[in-house]
Amino acid sequence: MSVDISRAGIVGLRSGLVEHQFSCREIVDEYLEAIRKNDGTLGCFLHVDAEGAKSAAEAIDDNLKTGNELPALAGTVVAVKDNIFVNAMPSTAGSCMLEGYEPAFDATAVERLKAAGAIVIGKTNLDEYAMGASTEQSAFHPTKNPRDHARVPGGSSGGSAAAVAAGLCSVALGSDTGGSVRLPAAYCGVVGFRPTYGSVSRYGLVAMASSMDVIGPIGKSVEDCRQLLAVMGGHDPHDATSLPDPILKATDAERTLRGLRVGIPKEYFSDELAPEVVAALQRVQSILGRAGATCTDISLPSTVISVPTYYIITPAEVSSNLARYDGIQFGPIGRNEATSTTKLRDERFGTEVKRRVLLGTYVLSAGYADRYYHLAQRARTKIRQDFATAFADVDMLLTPTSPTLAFPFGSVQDPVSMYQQDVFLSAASLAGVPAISLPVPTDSLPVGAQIIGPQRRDADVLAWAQALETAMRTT
Amino acid sequence: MADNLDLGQLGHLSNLGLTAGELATYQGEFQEILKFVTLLHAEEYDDVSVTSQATDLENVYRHDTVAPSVHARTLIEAAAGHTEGYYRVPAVLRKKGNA
Repeated sequence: MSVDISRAGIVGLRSGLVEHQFSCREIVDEYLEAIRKNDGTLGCFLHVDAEGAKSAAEAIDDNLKTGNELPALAGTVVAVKDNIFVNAMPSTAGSCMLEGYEPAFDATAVERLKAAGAIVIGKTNLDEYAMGASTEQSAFHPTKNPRDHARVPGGSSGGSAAAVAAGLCSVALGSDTGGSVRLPAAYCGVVGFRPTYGSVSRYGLVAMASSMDVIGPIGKSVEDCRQLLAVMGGHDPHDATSLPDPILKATDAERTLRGLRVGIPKEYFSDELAPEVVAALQRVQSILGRAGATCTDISLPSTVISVPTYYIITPAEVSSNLARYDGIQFGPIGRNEATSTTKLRDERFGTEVKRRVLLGTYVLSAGYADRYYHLAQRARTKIRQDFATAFADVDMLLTPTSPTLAFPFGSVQDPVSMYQQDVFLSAASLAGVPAISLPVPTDSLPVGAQIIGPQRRDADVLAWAQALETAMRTT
Repeated sequence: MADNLDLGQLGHLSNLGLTAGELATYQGEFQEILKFVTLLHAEEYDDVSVTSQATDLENVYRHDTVAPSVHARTLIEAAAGHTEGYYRVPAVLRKKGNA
């Protein structure tokens, strides 16, 4: 059976190469042509490395001709969010502050993907420094949702999710601090996985909120996400917060839905859900029930404080991490010594970045730290306790990824409303647990169903998600 | 709460030289954001410990061994300013009378 390159997953692309249905160069050429035709409208990419991708593809083809066994990700063409370093490619993090910067090394995740044969085709658009839920906050241009060009793709990894959804690459990398992989995956109708905190090295990821930042895969299927995580995960001595043991193992078993205990947190199903989201989640529950899973109503009482907690802890860490952009350690001031640090930061940082730096400085300042930051750290403990209590009784949680469908450009203006896009996403980030957004088949704009599992049980979350994905496709 | 918030001072502490227009915009937004995050204060936190990061790793060490890395010259040349094998940055200290 012939393989359709634009629809194929990682396994299909590799098998197509092995069976000589197409060359790796043909795979890359097809994606480059798709980018040429569509990215002028969509704006997924900030940089495309056509020559580098062609050259890497020809090396794979040469390897195949010599009869050598191909690596696991041969034929996989990956787009990388522009806050993750790829050697000798521009890495702006969506900010004018880093415009023109080219790192001299690969992020560990990228280094491992390349070593396994993956080809990096380019860098994708994002909200500046990954701060946003719509990709409207990019310093360069917004990205459009491939399903409806008048709507946002979600954020902050909007360029990556839109590129996968539009068939401009096989898979993509995003980063998820408070939902930045899962939300755009839901809005664009693809799969996005936030692994357990520390399961993928942060080395080479531009720091936003270091206690929550995770690199996560985005793909057309759960299997593609699993394949990427299997390669890029695991301990890295360059990142002291990386977990000592691999998060996925060769012995991980497939799972069925029969006997699965699914918790439905009542706080995630308010009257404010869009009707399309309600209908989609009811359908998922019905499919789970028919497959032999048991859905039980549970409570996560600290849900109401998860977004406020996130928007204290994150700005605090942002204000600390972004202090390095002073034109001495980082930033473009070396070219113009007449520019002061404060002027440089005011000119080069965008509105949302400045808002979070100011807020972070405030919640950390003497007299306010106890009232805000230290209290938020305690609230974070309560949120973790909620999950621990829930997972004593159920195997996984099912929630909507977002209360709404992708919204039109410019329709969410005030910061608090934008922050509340993360309402179903922040708690898992604060608790460091794995969570995946799966597209639910629907006639409307895409709707994402989120599966949340216990910490370090990523293999189970992926296996359950894959079983649900199969059930949804066949029902 | 933030009634007496001095955003100009906060901008100074944040190394941001905010314009008058930015100060006016942020002042209104900050009231709303702080009102929102103050939802935290409705909960009880007696005997609740703090969480700084979620995986509870502590005392993480590695062997102090030399390993291959990116060449120093490559890193220096990637900087915005460099000269004769050194980073070039703005002067921090100035001669008396030139401040």
